[in-house]
Amino acid sequence: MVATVAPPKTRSRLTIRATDVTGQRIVRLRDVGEETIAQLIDRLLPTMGLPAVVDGREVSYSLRLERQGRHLHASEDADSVLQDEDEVLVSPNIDAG
Amino acid sequence: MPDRTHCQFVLEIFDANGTALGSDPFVPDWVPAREWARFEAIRLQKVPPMTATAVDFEPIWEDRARGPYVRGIRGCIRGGDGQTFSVDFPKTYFHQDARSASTRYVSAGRLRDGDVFYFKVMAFAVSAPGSDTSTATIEEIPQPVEILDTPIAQFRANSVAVGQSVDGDAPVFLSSEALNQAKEMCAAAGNVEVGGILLGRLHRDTLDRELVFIEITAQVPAEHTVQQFTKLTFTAETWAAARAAMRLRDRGEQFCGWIHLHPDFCRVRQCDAAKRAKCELAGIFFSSADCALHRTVFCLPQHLGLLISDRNGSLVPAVFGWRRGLIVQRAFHVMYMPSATVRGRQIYGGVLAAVGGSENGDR
Repeated sequence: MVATVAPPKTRSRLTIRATDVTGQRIVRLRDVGEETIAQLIDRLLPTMGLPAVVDGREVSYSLRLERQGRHLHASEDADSVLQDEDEVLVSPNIDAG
Repeated sequence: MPDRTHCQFVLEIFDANGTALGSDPFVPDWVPAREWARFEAIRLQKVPPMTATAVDFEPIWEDRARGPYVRGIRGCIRGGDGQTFSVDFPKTYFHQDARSASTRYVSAGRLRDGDVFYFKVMAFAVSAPGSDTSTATIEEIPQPVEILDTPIAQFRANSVAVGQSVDGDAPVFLSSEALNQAKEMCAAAGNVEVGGILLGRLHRDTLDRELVFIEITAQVPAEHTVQQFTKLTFTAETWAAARAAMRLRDRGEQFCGWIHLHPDFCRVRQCDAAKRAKCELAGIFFSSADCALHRTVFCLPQHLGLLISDRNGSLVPAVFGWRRGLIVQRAFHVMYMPSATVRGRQIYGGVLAAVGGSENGDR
């Protein structure tokens, strides 16, 4: 008895739109695939002009999936929660002093 | 579109005696300069009012020599007429980078915390970056920048100026209703920090077409925040709720900034007069944490930070915003003051504030 190796899953790569909280910086991100939401955020920040560290302070971000009205967990798989042409909001958790 | 520069920048740090402590390569934060250059190009009608215009940065050499020392940077934009439009930024643009670099020397014991130091900036040409696959998969989508044609005269005729304006700053007109609501929110807050989001619009004067000004129409209290005595956390839910509130209003507004309160720290701690006189928390200040939030969320030239400080029972407003890529205190106008104008002037008298100090670490 020999098992048959299944062919690799061919998932289509997604394109999404990401907006900052002011709505004034919007980017299109193509080729979203097998990555976590945390990795997706890391890809988005530079082009959106959002700092990962500012004045020595780390800034944490989350993604809000507008279609579902919920914030995605950093460990969720992008290709399992996102759909093509989804819109996400990149939201910082940040302190004023 | 990505910002482009073909230079590696290096900071040289010197102690107060002029002794060189070391050199540190760094990557400048181009975003505030980029956004300022874009805004200037739009204000002067060199480009259409759209976001995402590409900006190239090049060094401005000291003494017109060819480097490596720079006295500033130049942001260059290709205008709609094919001409290059440029905006110069002084070396002070690198203050924050120098401050960050200095921490290494404090850790190594070569500077003490609070020591004065000096810095120089060098730039060295590097080969043009090759094609970057990350830029092929992500791109900024140009958005229209909404600017209404409005005579500024009608705003000036119905407002009271607070503070001394600086040439080149976009005038700010703050609705007295929004300001009063913010002050009521702060008065009710007790001894914790509270905040909100400023909504507004951009206008272009119908006579002076190079004069763009900012109208703050409303404030939305920040919900889902974490409020503490010396700290206010804006959470992801805060932004979502504020965006929902703006959509509900449906008045063609945009995010124009944020508000927060500094309680009377000295009163709460029952500091005596002598301690209060020496305490930097007794003054009006936009802290380094406030600057970090402003840079992270509100990095466009039209974005403002309205700070309300409780000082001896008076709620004192001060406005902060961008000037050539740096956060500074800004003059503003309060619209539609009540008939008791003199009283209003007393309430809204301009105050001089500190920006980006070390107040947070000293609390």
